[in-house]
Amino acid sequence: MYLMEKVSNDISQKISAILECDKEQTEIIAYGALVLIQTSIAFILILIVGILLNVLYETVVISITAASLRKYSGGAHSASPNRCAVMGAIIFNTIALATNSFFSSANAITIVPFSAICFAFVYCILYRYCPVDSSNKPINNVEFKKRLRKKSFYVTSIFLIISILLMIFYYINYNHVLLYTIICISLGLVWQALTLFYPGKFITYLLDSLLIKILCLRRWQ
Amino acid sequence: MKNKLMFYMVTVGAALLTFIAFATSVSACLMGSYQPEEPKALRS
Repeated sequence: MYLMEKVSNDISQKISAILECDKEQTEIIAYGALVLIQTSIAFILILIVGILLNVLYETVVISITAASLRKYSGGAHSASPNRCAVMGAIIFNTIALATNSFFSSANAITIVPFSAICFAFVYCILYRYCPVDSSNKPINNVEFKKRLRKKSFYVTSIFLIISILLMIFYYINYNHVLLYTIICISLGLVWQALTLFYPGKFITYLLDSLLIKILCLRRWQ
Repeated sequence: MKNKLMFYMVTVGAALLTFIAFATSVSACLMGSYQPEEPKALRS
């Protein structure tokens, strides 16, 4: 059992003792606590690395975009919550750094076709693979699968509308941050789409294995 | 008085955690890249 799971189980046991909950309710509270702790730690770690690398804005936009789609599309998973947090910080900040290096002086002429290609790619991948389940949460219900698929397309479409609005605002006041935000949204969605099939799963597996070997995170679990 | 306040705080905490658990159960997975095993009561 991982440290985060131990902490969430302790919290739920204490709450259950006070409120006299049954086993089922205790399990639900423990699951809620684990979700809260894990998501908070992962996001805080992403923010800290983002601040250190001076790419906080990019990291926040990319991670929120990817997480919003991930909620409904599913995707590749790490085998431990600790490595998941470290991996999120590495991946999102790498994408943010790449955005900062390659697109800091990009103009609308290059960004419009680039974003269009990104959105087309995301829609294609969602159509082909979405939703992707995991062994810890298999999705067997056909209706539930259809609902998740539909919501994934809704989320992507909302980001497409946001990007179009940002582009319109850019043509009104020529603020470069707006263009930059469009790129971050596009890359966040592309990364999430990649985790639905082989390339993303391979990168996740590779990073997971590297983290085990290089950082000796097995001891830290 | 202190015990009563503690009881209310724990109740609110439990309600919040239960809400988070149910909100997560209607999605494909967690927002991070680790998915813990879902409790049986939450499986669809």
